[in-house]
Order: sequence, then C-alpha cells, then structure tokens
Amino acid sequence: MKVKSSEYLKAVKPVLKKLLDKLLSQYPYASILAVDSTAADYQVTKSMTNMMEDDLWCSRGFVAKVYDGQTYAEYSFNEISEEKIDEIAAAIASTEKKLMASAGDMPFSQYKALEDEPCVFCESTEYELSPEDMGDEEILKQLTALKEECMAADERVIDGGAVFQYRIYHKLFLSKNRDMEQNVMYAGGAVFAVVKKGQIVKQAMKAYSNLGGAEIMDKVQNGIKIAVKNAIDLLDSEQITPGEYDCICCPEVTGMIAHEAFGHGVEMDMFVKDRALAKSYVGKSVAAPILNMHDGASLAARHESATYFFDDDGVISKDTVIIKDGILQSGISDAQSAMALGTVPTGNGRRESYKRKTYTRMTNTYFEPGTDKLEDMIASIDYGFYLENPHSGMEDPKNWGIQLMVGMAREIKDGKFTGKVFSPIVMSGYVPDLLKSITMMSDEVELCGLGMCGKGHKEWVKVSDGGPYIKAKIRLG
Amino acid sequence: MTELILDALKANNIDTYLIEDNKEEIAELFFIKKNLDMRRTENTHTSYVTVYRDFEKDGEKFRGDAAFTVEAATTREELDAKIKRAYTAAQFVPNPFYEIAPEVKQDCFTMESTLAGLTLEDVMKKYVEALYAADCDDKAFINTAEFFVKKLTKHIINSNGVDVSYIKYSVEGEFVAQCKEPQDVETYQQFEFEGLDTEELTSQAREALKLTRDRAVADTAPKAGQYDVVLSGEYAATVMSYYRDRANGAYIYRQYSDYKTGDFIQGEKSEITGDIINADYLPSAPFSNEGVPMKKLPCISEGVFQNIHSGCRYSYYLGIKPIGAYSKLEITPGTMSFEDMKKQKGLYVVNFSDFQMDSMGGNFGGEIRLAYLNDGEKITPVTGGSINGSIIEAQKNFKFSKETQNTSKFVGPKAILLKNISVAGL
Repeated sequence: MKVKSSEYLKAVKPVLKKLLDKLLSQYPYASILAVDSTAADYQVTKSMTNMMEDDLWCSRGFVAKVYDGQTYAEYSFNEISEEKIDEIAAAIASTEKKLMASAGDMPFSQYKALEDEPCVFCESTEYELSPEDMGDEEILKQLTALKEECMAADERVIDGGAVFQYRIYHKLFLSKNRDMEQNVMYAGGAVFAVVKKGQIVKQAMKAYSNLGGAEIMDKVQNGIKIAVKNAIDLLDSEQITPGEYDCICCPEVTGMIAHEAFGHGVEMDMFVKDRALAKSYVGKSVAAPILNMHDGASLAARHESATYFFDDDGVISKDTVIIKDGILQSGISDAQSAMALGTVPTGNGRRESYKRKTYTRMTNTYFEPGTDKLEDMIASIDYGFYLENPHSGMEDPKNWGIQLMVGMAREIKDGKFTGKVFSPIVMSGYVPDLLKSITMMSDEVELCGLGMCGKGHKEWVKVSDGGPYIKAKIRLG
Repeated sequence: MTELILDALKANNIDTYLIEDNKEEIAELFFIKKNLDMRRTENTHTSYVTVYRDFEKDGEKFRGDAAFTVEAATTREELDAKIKRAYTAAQFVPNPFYEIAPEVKQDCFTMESTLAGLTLEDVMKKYVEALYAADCDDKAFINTAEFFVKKLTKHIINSNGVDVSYIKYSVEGEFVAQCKEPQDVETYQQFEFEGLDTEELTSQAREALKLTRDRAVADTAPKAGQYDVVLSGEYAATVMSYYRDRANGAYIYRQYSDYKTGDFIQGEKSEITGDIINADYLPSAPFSNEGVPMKKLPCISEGVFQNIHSGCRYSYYLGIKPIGAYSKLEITPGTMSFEDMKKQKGLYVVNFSDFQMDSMGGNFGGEIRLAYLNDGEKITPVTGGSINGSIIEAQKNFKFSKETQNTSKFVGPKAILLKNISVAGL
C-alpha cells in the first residue's frame, strides 16, 4: 500500500502558493517547504508504559526561503491563512533586514540564485501494515508481551522491555518552477534488558528498522535473547588493556564506522568551511581496495528509514558512490554548499524540522558486501576481539580521528571465542588507517535506522547505516 | 490556542490533563569565517497536551496517559481526533495511579535576566561583537559560528488548577576555532547563557583559540597507561552529572540507582581520601514542565543523600512530595587550586571529541583532542588516544578545585582531579 497525501497540505497549498507569489514579487528567488508529520513512540518496560506523539518528529509548519540577489534568509512559522499572507510576507521582509543589520559590519557570503528547473512530482513510499490501522492497543499489547518475555528470560533482569516508533511525513516543496510532494512512512523497534549483580548495572539493546510500517514488529521479537544475553555477559566484563587489535566488527559497528568515522567527513558543507580533510583526498586512496561505500536516500538504492524522494532543498535524491575500490570518489551536499563549490547537489540537504536550517546530512550510509563468511573471519583471528553494541560516535571531519563508543568486545583467541567480555570500549585512531586495514568483508549487508544523527550536538535527523561484518586493525581503549 | 485546547478537552469530557504551551521567537545567524552565510527567524506556537485516564483492574487503580502535539495550524477537527485517540490509548497504559501537580497560580512574568528588555536583534549584535572581539589571534581564528537568541513564553495548565506562565530569554550557539600551522586542527565549542554575559563569551573564545594553537603543535598521543587526570569546564560538569542522574526518582524506582535519603552515597566513607561531595539542586526555570514550583534544594550533604528529585509520577511511587526533575547542580568547590592540580604529574585534558558519562554503569571517557601531559619535568601538548574511567573508583579520592565555574547547567568546581585513570594511547 502507498502512503496517502496529507489532507491538510492539500487544503493549504493554494494559500502557500499565494504567499509564494507575494514573495516572488519582492525577491528574485523564493521557496516554501511545508511539512506535515505525525510520529508516535511506544515504550513498555517493567516500571512504565508510555504512549506519546514524538515531539521532535511530530510537527506541522513551514519554512520560507528568500534570496535578495546576494544573500539568503529563512523564516519558519506554523500558522497560515489567506488573511495572514500579507502579515507573514511583511514579517519575512522585516526580520531578514533587521537580522542583516544585527550582524553589524560583518561581511556576507554572496551567492547566486538556486537552480530552479521545473519539476512537478508526487510520490509515496509503500508499507504493509499501517501502525494507525494496527491501533495503539494492539501495539502496546505486543510490546507488553515482549516485555514479559524479556523479564522472564533471567532472574538477573531487573528491567526490560520494548519500544516501537513510527513516523509518517508529508512534504511539499514549492518554488516558481517546482511543485513537489512526497509521502513517507518509516518505523522501528527495539528490545532492551537491564541486569544487575550487586552494585553493577548493565544494559543491552537490539534494534530493527524499515521503510514501512508496523510489519517490523515481526522481527523485533528475535532480539530478546540477544539483548538479554549481551546484558548478562556485560556483568562480568573487564576493562580492556588499551592497544591495537585485530577486530571483527558486526554490521552495526561497521555502520557506525561508515557513518561516524567517514561519512561525516564527506559532508560537503564542511568542504565549504575548509573543515574537511576529505576535500584534498578526492581521487586518492583512503581505504582498502576491497571497500566500496555509498550514501543515498533514493528508493532504488535502499529501503530504509532515511529513504526519501527529494531533500529539503527540493533536490531529487540519489545514490552517491563515496568510495570505490578504496578510492574517494565524491562527497554529499545540500544545494547551497554545492553552489558554493561549483558541484551538482546530491540530494542530501536536510533539516531537523521546518524550524531549523538545512545542512548537508547523511541518509542511508553503508559499505558494500564482500565475499567472506563470518565463521572464516573469526577463525582468522590469532588474538583480537569481536565488537558489537555500538553506543555512539563523534565526527572529526578535520583530522579523520575516530571516536566511537562500543558496548562490548568479545575476546577471540586462536580463532575461537574465549568467553571473556570487555566493556566499555573506546575506539580511536586515524580513519584511513582503519579503512586500509580491512582485509575481510562478509557477503551480506545489514542496515539499521532506529537511531538519529546530530551535527555536532544538535540538528537531529533520521539516518540508517550498516554494512557487512568486517575484519580490521583498530585501536581500542 | 490554549483556549481552543481547553474547550476541546471539555467537549470531549476529559477530566484530567496537562497542557504545556510554548511560544518561541528565535533569531539565528550563521557565519563562515567572518562572513554572514544565513540569517533565520523562527516564530512558532506549539502545545504538548497529556490526557490522563483513570481505571481499575483486579482491584488496583491505574492512571494511563497519552500525549500529543498541537501546532498553531492544527484544526479543531484534528484536535478532537487527537484527544479521542489519546484518551482511548490511555486505557492501555496501565501505570499505577499517581497524582499530578497540585494547584498553583502565577501570572506571566519575565525571569530575571539582563537579556529582557532588549530586542532579539540587539542581543544578537552584542554577542556577535563579543565573539569576534576575540578573533584577533595571529595564528588561530574562528572558522564558523552559529548564534541563537531565544525568547520563550511558556504557559502550563493542568486540571488540578496549575496555571503558571513565564518568559525566559537565552542565548546559545557554537563556534569552531581553527589553527592551520604547523598542523591544520580545530576545536569545537558550545555556549549557553541566560544573561548578557558577553565578556564570558569573549573569554571563552580567547581560551578556545589558545588551546587550538596548542593543538596545532601537538603531534603525539600519550603513552598508554594509568594517569592522574584533570578535567575542567564542561567535562568536570559532565562527570558530576552522575550524581544528579543517580538521584533521580525514575532511576531509583527502577532500581538502576540504590540511593536512599540519609545514606552515604560516595562509596565507603572509610575509603575516602579526597573531597566529600556537597551539592544542591538549582532550578533552570521557576516551574517544571508539569507545573511544580522549583527552587534551590539540598541534594547531597557531606556525602549523605538528602532529596530525590523527580516528576510527579515517580515521586508518588516513592512516597515523596514532587520537587521536579532538575538538570542543574551546584557543587561546593574544594581547597586545591587549579594551578596546583596542573603542576602535578598527570594529564590535563582540555578538549575531547566527545566526552560521555554513563550514569548507569559509572564509566566515563572519550577521545582526546588536546591534553597537556605533565611528566614531572615538562608539560607537552598531546593529541589522540582516549581516557576510560569509573566514577565508582574515582570518587574515593577525587579533588575539586577551589576555583569555580558558573554555566546554565552547572555551578561548582572549575576542575576535578581524578586519580589513576586508564588512558589508551601509544
């Protein structure tokens, strides 16, 4: 089934077009992005049940972008009517001039008008089971059953449960020549377990996501045994001796490497700011020759939670080959950064919401599969670790430093697991060293998009990342 | 919009509810080097509504709830549909019964701030000038900067008679300092102020430029091993957030934390050789988002836990009066000077790529962007590697500086000395 259009946006579109016409009478370029988004979070644990609309993803509002012949300004608002058109247009003009004055004597970046080729467009993604049709009661019932199974799994479990979240968003992008509409649904779920032994409390989670609806719940159940076992294994975890080790990374950790360690470094708004080492490496070797990396929101490339038809600049999404055979091919960009660099935008201009500015952001980021089998990869390790449960990472586009936190490292000796677990793990080092050290890659790819990505410590967008199992030399501490 | 929501709740026979209404006016500027790259204004009105539903099951009382968002453009029909859905869903949310915040009234007032009375654009001008006043270093410079000047008007209403409103002004943002020689490096900084603290921003920027210069000459990571580590500024505050999180009612009720009022919570008292914690909760707003009045209250006194901080639900379950959930702690400083801390052998880490405190497990750590290594003879800037420590061990002998810091999130020692911390390096 296809996601339907927003009745609200259909009704308000003529008013938005009138506002746009008014702005185009004052500015050489103007556009309006309209967003109507519903999203809900459900959580069932031992101590609470929660059901709420997600206040980050649930929104309805507009952002007008205007160009005065040299510079750009934006105005985010969430109230419109025929009667308010003049008031809004006047507020846009007044505030952008006042803000220009508040910058004092600071110079300003000069830009051309954004490309505005004609494009009329209406597309929707597909789903099997709508969460809204499934209903809140059934969703909570399924999560409650998962929680009970988790709590019963082991006497050391003091808390546990399951979450489910979905988002249905509708976007309209209007400019002089563009009238684009998209309707997208994605969903995700996870199970988690919290265990305790004496004063020590540990937790572990297993997450799933899809471009679609509540059909993802069928997979979530599989995660209970994994989450409980991982949490219990963590109770006896030790602190690792810092050093460089041969590691096998599970697809989730591989994805975090692709996203955090490398992906952020090729966001081309960083090229504009001279903040990205990658700018000087296009066409050069940055990884082992067996490595190929992609980012893209196009449906043809990936069906995941960050798939869409056009970005928040009105640029059609595509699949970007970032690394091919170990050579850096291209970065990803939003429209304004591409204009500054003289390149073609890649459809990666994304806003956290209609309230926030567009930045170059990743979408679905992953390494292509290789040809190896996981069991052979583990058997090849004399001494090293199997890394799983990624927690978080921080980008370093300037220096390609790695800063990733991983929940656990399982010791491997002579090709076999010893049963010892080390936690927490900080992965550090230099990105190209890690990527060039990859010698094996499994023949399957997994992506997951339950989490969010920030630019620094803000501007949250939905992303997915993943890849195959990889074998690499990594500094752990 | 509040009137529309109240009318709709009444029409749908909702007896128990909470409305958190937010009007935001925000002025934003974005700079690349010294060039203004984008200017933005946000003018939005959004409410968050929680609907409660009481029911019984097997003789036990429950209070279910479900929350939804109301935007200025939400129609009455949609609002009615949201209310009905939330009320229906709430019956499947079997949380044990609890009381919501009791009646309290407060007419709209402006929180005391030197930002009030100025236009957002005037404030913006002063902060832009303040940041770039520091940008005159001969080697390091401001690469990018973002400024957000906010006016928030908040109105909280519940069915028990909570009806409070206030206006809060704030300025927040971030900037990146860069130095190109001998190595091209950068450091990332955030700032957040609730007053016209422009000199504070200039001072922060000058310090950031200096440490970025130092990072440019740092070309080696520390050797792997155990070090005494000094953390200052936001990193010291992050480590101490462990106590705030462990003191939270949600943590305690779920048994993630063993804190009990009257207990010594800093490990074993006989093992303490460092500073003992004295901490108070400080309010960031006059009322919590549930409408609970917030004020300065004791958290920990001579290492002894004083008060659980929590919203209404977990306070009720724990049998205590709700005082709200606090994000800000004030910790009494120590007696050791910051300079004396840095004179000792060890590692003073001034910049991480990302520093985290896991309040559940007690571990803290992050990758080092810049640290100063004191080997007892000389001090060398180093970069790379990471630290990984446990506050459960470190709290036995940590030392607080006598110098203090005062930010929107933390008041307390400017620096902490942590003994014997694992460092991954060369």
